[in-house]
Amino acid sequence: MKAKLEMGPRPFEILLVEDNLGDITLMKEILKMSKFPIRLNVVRNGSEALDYLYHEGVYQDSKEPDLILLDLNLPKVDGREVLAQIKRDSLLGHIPTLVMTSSKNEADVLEAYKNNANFYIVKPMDMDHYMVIMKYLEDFWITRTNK
Amino acid sequence: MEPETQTQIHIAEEKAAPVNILMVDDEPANLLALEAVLDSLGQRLVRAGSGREALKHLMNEEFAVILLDVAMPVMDGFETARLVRQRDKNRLTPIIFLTAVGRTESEIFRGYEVGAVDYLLKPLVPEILKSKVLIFIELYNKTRQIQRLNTELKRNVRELESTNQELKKENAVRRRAEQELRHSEEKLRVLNASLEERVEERSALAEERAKELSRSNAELQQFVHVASHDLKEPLRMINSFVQLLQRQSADKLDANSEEYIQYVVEGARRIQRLIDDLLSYTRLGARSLSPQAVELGEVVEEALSNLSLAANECGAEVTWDPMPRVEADRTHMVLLFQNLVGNALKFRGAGKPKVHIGAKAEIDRWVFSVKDNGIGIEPQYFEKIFIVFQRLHAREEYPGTGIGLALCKKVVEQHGGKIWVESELGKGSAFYFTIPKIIRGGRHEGETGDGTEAI
Repeated sequence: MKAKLEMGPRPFEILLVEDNLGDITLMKEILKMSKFPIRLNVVRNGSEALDYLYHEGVYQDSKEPDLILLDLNLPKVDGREVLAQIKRDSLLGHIPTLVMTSSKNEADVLEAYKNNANFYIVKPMDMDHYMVIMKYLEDFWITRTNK
Repeated sequence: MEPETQTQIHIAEEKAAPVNILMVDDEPANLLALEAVLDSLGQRLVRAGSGREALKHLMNEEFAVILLDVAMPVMDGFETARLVRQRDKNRLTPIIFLTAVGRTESEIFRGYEVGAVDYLLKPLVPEILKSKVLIFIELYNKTRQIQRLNTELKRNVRELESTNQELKKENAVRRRAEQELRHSEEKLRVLNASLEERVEERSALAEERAKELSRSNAELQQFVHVASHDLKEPLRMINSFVQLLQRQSADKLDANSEEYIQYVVEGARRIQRLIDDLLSYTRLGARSLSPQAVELGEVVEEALSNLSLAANECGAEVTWDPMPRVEADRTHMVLLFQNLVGNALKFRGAGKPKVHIGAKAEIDRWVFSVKDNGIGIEPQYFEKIFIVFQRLHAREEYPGTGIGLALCKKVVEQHGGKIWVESELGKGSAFYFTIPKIIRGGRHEGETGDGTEAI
């Protein structure tokens, strides 16, 4: 395993902060279709997300993600707070953080960009749109980091 | 002052009235002599020949004075005087004893004891007799006058008392009336106050109700909003996973399963459209109008440009009259024209669709029309089609959620206008709506749209 990993390209690390199991499964399935090796790490609330990013609690050995997909409406610590914390911290601020939520609320969009979100994605209503989003992730974020 | 004057007048009048004088003597000659002396006094003189006769007279009449002979047979003067005095009525009637000169002192004293007031000695001196009798007449008259005055006074007093009583009564009545007046004034005041309070309460209540209504309205909007979003979430799951299933398991599914999955996909898509339409319908209510001068020519062009795909697809020919400038909410106007023209294109007939948008000025309003040569509507549905979710056709024939015309109606009515349809089955429809030239009504004024819409 180890040898194989060293040989191939390092997998692209995505941290998905999402409480909805359906969305988690969908994202897994979508990313499976990608032509790039992607490792998807999932946390279910904002508090776990911060633990993961600060290597605390059960996430002592967590790797710094290459990209964060962040839902806004989360239990415990809200996605908005997580975003603010990430972008406030000089050690984390550089990680591309994409808000991915079902909220089309203009206030949410504005607040996300004010907190330096790198993009705001409304969760798509069907598969075709999911494919568009994956294509976008590949073209704009994965290839750039993995060049 | 007045009662005193009256009293004096009474005294003057009384002087003329003659009084009775009783003369008692067993000797007719003596009686005659007395009469001779007293006749000039002008009083009524009554004779009695014995004590018994005297008593008889006293029973019948009242006398101012009695002249009584002491020495009489059978019943002498003393005895007679005693009997006279025994009668209540005559206890105070003055008695003058007539007696012969030379009577003893003890005899005189006895006379006084039985009630005599004076003595006259025989032979009588006429002047003395006359003046004594006169004194008693005057005394009698005075007494009578005093009695009368007394009675009158008493009557006056009684009258005064009764007047007083009446005054008191009147006073009491007045006081009671005043009290009642005060009472009713107080009542009125209290009533007034309570009325004012009630009016205040009512208006407070009305205000409260209005607030409540707008609150519950807002809550309802919020509810529809949230519900729609919450409905969309599971819908997204259905959509996504069914499509995922389609993609990933296409080779493992038979033709039936494919078809079934297609139904699920379409159903989900329809729910989604319904929710979207419902949201835009409720948003119409949530958002207050922001009327401004709107060039309807531009509005029509924008609506048509939004419909260009559908219009080109069916090769429709859309024409329109010169459009006026109106006071309206621009977004709503676009929505209105787009829905009406969209319907005209959707419900087209077999031939090439032709749609004309008309505008006609009336005194205080504009009448707009959207006429087509489409399938038309039967008259019994003219009202129904404006009701939300009301559809006339199978979904396979004409897609749609049944909200479009309800939305149009809401827009027109919010602008203070009316909307109606004229149509004949198979010969096309004409939708008319009016927009007032001067917008009136509360919804158009004073309300400021907050502009923020959470979707």
